Amino acid sequence: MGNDMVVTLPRTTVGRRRSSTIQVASLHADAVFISSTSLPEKEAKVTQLSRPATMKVFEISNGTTLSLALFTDVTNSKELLEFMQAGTLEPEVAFLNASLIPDVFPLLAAAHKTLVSKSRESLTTRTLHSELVFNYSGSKHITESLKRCGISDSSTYVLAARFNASPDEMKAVEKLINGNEIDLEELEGRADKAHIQKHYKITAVELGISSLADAITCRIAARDAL
Amino acid sequence: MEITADVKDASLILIKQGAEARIFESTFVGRRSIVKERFSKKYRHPSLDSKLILKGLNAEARCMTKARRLGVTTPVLYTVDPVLHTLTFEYVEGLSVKDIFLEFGLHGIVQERLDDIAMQIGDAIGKLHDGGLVHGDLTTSNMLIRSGTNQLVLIDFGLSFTSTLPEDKAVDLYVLERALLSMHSTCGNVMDRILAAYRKSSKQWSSTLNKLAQVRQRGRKRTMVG
Repeated sequence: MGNDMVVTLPRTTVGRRRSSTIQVASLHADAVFISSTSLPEKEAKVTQLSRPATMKVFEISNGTTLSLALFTDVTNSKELLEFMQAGTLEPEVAFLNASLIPDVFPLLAAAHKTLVSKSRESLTTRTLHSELVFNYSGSKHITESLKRCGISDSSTYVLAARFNASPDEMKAVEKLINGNEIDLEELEGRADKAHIQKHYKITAVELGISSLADAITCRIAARDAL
Repeated sequence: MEITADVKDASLILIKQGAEARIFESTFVGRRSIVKERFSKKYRHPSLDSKLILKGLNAEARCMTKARRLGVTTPVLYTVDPVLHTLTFEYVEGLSVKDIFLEFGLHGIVQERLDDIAMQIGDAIGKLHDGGLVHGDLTTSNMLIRSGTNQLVLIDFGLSFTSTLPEDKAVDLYVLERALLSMHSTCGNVMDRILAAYRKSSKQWSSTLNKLAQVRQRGRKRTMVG
């Protein structure tokens, strides 16, 4: 199994990013060899990564956009967290625990809510991007929200989001994160369903009539009405 | 980075106006949506007016999402705006049960379809009532059948409230019975089929249906004599 990886990884690291430097790619390869967790999962990814992964831009309202980029095998989340807490993250960006995100739509709904608050100067948290993480949590507890829906020291699967990002800024974000950028299509397959159900208190009864993403969207929307 | 989100979305097309609210069609981050705006009543004192509007808005959002948690399909709630007094939710593609039943009246009944719809209605109301939720405005125009899946979707939770009293549940059913009698007498006895399904779906059917018999005798309003 180890041999397979040695053979296949260089191919995928090349195909993975269109514009990033070789330096970053090799850095990533090192990281994969160091961490030896769950080999079958890594093998599955090798096949998925053969197509180029890209960040995506979504329009939220009236020209304001949200750019998203998804990363696995992130090795420097501790460093990212420190930057963020010191407020020296450049450019400012939101890092989300991607295993709680089965689809982009609930996140876009949270982004919409964030922009509405911003336009009324009524942000609950300190920055626009922390507000996005807070809103995505569907909870009123700020610290818990940032802890659960944001990243921790040990996060390896991260979604980066930035409002109105220029292409250069998104490139800077991609450089910031030492990880493996993958397509957003993979969100659904990689989501931790049990964890999501627990966090948002979604029962099997509700899932009988609703998708996981719709259930999350309802909780994000209804939070302030509860 | 500049965020100049104008909250008023670009296109709003008025599709209905009621006594409590206006209904618009719009789009919400790329999805077709319905915006329900509760407007102020000029005859009420302004401060009381805004309090009542907000109360109604939040109650509706709560009840819609509660219904989903009980396994009853309602439109997915996208966002609640306490400043504009709007709820934004999923646009459900399909006809109302009212239109379908009227069509049956004109061109003959499709028995299989009628049975399926009646069964879904009874089942849905049973689930709501067992969860302590009373819809408050059960008419055939507040029930949609999603095209493609033929799934029943309950809408308009503007008069909904939580209650465990058999009285409230019985009145809920009685309102539906009257609506069916007045609008859809040509469809035969749909109510019997609905109640049969209700009996299967609700564990507390017995006390509710006993109460329903009493409510039929006296009408929706309780007599205040004695």
